Amino acid sequence: MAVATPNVAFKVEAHEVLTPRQISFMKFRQHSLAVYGAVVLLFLYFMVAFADFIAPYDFETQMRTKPWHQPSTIRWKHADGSLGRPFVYNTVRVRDENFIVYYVEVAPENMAYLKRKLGSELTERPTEHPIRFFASGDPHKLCGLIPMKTRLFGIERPEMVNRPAFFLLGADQMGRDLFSRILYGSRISMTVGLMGVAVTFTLGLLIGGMSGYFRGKTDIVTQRVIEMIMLLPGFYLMLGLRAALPPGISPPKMYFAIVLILSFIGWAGLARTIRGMVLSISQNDYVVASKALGVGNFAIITRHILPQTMSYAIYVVTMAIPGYMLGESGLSFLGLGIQEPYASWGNMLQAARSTNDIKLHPWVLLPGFMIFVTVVAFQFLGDGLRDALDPKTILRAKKEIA
Amino acid sequence: MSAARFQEGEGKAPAVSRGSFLGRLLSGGLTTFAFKRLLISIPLVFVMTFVMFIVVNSQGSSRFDTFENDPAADPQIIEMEKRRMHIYDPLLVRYFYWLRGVMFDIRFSPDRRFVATFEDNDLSRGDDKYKFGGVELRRPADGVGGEYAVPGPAGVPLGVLGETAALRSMLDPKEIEALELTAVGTGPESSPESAPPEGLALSVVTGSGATPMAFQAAAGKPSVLVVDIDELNRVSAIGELREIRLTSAKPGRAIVKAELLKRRVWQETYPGTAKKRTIQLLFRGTPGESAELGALKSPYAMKLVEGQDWKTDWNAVQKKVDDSYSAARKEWETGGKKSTEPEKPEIDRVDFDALEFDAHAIQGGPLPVSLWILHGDREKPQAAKIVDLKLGEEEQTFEVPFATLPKDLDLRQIRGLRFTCDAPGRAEFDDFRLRVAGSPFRIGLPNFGTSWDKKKGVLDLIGEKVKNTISLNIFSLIFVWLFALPIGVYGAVRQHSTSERTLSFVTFLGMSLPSFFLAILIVFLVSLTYDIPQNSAFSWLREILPIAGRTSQDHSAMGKLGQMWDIAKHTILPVTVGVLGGVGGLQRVLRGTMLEERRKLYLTTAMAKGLPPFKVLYKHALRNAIIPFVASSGSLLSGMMAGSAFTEIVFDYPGIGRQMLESLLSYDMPVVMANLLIAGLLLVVGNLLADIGLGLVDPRVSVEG
Repeated sequence: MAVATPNVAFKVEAHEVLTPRQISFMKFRQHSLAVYGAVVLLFLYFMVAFADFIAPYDFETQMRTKPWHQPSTIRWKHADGSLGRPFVYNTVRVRDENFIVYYVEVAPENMAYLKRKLGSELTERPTEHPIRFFASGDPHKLCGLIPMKTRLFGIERPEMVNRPAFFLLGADQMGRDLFSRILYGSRISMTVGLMGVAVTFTLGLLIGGMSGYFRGKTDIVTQRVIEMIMLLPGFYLMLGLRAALPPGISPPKMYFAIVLILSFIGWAGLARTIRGMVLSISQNDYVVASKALGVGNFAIITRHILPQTMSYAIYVVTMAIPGYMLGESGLSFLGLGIQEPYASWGNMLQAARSTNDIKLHPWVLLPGFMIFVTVVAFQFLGDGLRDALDPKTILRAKKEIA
Repeated sequence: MSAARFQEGEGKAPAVSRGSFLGRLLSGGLTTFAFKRLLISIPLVFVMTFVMFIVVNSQGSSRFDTFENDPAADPQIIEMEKRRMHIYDPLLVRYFYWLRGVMFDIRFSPDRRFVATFEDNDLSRGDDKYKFGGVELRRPADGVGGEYAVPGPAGVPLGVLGETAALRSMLDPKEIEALELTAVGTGPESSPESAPPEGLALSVVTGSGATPMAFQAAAGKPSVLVVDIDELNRVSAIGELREIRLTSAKPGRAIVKAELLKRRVWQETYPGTAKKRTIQLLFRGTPGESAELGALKSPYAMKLVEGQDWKTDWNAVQKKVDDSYSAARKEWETGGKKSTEPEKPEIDRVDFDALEFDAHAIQGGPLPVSLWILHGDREKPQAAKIVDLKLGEEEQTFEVPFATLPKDLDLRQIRGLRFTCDAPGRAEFDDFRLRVAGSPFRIGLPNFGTSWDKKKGVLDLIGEKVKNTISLNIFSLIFVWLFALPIGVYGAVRQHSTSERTLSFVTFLGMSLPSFFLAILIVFLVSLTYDIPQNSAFSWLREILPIAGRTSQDHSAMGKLGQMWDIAKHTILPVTVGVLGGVGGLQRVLRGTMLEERRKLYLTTAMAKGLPPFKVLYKHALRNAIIPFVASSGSLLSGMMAGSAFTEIVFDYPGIGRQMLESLLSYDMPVVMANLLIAGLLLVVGNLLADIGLGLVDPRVSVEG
């Protein structure tokens, strides 16, 4: 899937000479799926950065009267038939004959039904709650720095018995806005991969580089360590390492612990591949020459050898990020990762562990789709990067240009 | 990595001739290669288990954190449990204990070994009503106790115990072992006004009358009454239980405390055959008077004892057994009444030479305890005093060599043991073992220890689950291959066609969805079918496949075929998740290599020779393209095991992945370790098989390896 066809003629002016970086960029742009992936990811990371501004509510805010609320109906048409700015009606909870709870809007056309159903308990009149941009909502800190109360959109929530709320994507079992929680959760789910990969990348490159460069005993020991890590199935290793964490550690610590656990499992694969590449690169004449010139080992590895492996490493790392996301969401899904009330896409899916709940409230599956979209975007991006950074295709393109 | 190996060899002519698959498997190269891999992998797995053991057990005491905040939990007992779990031993020592069990339980002991002894169910039965199957968590019943002025024969009801429902729940024999009443006089011994009442009795009042149970209270020192719940229930079964009264013949003052002794059975199986048990005995009585505790029967001792052959002429016995066996066999061969082939009986020639146990006093130490052996008639055995022990607070090991037994005691007639004590107190007896003279070196079955949670051997707990996980993964792997092979080839042959795009899209979806989310989605889809009305045309779709467990509830009632179908039905969805997750990656690999192979010149040559395209494709191209396909199956396995773990959890399928999670949540370290090790070994074996498969499809591997 998504393998680009690289043999496309480039429209280049004859006098122009392209650097490899330019060629890579051009090739990347031709890989349409990869571009889509990149755009989606940019969009998602933009949301991560401004999560608390975009989210209409805080991740902890519970609308106590509205657990399992379905996505709100956004209306444009006023009662008199005129069009106006979007608004929602407040909803009240009703039980059907099977005692299944559902919510009915306090809208003019529903009033007769509600009166029949609730009788004197129905005290509300149909009121339009307009959805406002830059409405004031739960206090938050923009980008974790600037304290403010303004949120991108929202409705006013007057103090009353059954406070109205606006659920773009529905609510969870505690009446928390799913959309807001997805946004807040993205701050964990979308960054855990980046953090993990940063650790893996450093460890994998350095250890793999050293193992391949020094050979001999260093190599044997490193290889055995890598094999050891790869000998246990990832899931079991992950759970085993998780057992080392004491119960009830704070969420930020847990976040970093997860990153560490996942990178501990992940670095081995990268190191092994890098080592293979370094083994052959270190035979090159220019490495021998730098040795003869008296360049230190560390400098040779980091300045002469590792840059050669970089394009491959970047590809591997892009493809590895989804793995970290899945690891984190898996752990959180099992209740071993990020704990309530903090949101991560994995622990939000815990609500989907009961068949009844997904059947009655299918919107709890949405975090899973968010994971899916992100994973696919990363895979597309990785595919594109591989084609774009592959030295073989770059050379081929150069030849074509020549 | 493997792929790199092939590329190096590319272009070279295959160095070995293509023999049969079996021939190549048996020829030196491949076997050595596989053996080498195994030789490296297995020790590495154990090194890894060492690392993991340290990591996993670094939080070993977390298990007790919850107990520490629980006022009902006796700190002494928690302490004891901690000792039993070796919490205070250095991690390294604990690891070697564990390793010894796992490595076929190899033991060296100087010139002796121990045989299993007392088992659980024998302790709670029998004629000894004051025996407790292990440690009691003492829980004072709410509202019971306090200072009672016992006015006279009329009796005083015991607080809230008057309520029938409370009484009933209190008398639940599953929960509670006994009711213990302690009466202490409130004043000085000399003062007659504050002396405890005489002739205290516990009366069980039912609809049909009251049954008194004697209770002696002496001045100045606590007197204890322990009433077996079974006995209370027996009494109260006559009529509806109304209340339990405390009555006295003569008035007095005493603080009466009632405590329920909770039944808590702890059974521990240590590595090795020696089954260790902790038995707590509660002694009561007045000084100078010997209170009998009754017999402690051991089925194992009984079995050995009853098998008429204790310290007898083994040759004669062997001959007797052999004779009866050959007679039975003859009868069977000549077509007699016996329809099944008789089995040759084996005689276990164990000679015990001593009884050993550890003991210490918990209350009232030092306790003078006597050990008796019951022998003779089974219904009314005679008791012979063997030895007097002084139990201190410190744990001591006692050894009773059988050589010291009285000469007239017939060992064949031993029925059990009895402990007596003439002072009140509580003692704990631990690790009863019959010592056997024999070889100092022993090899047993691998032993993963005991689950802390379930008080059950780890292998018993997870054995079945390991099988389930293996079968789940094997089925998934088979179906992944079955689907990936044709899809991959098709993808290469019909590149860019609509059907190829659709297929790769579907497999790509499966690959990108997290396995647990895929499983949830499938559960969701199945749950949607519940909405199909009963009488519609699609009603057969309703609950088409079960979404939880491995068997239905009425599984045992089904026939053999029905059971198989039942298991198959439960396995379909978990396997589907595994297959959807695995096909994508594998078919991409195959498609990629097939595309590459197709561009090569030898295929052009083959086509030019006029070979039919089918043959060119499957005989030439696929044979080469399949190599990375087989090679990546090994690494696929690791991912699949992770995936199957999540699947097990979502589908409630009893496998080790789910077990791992459960035991991790309760910090049940022996089970966690066993799961880790087994999962590692499974992966090693899987990789080995993949290597062998690789050697079979690629002759170059066996040469280079």
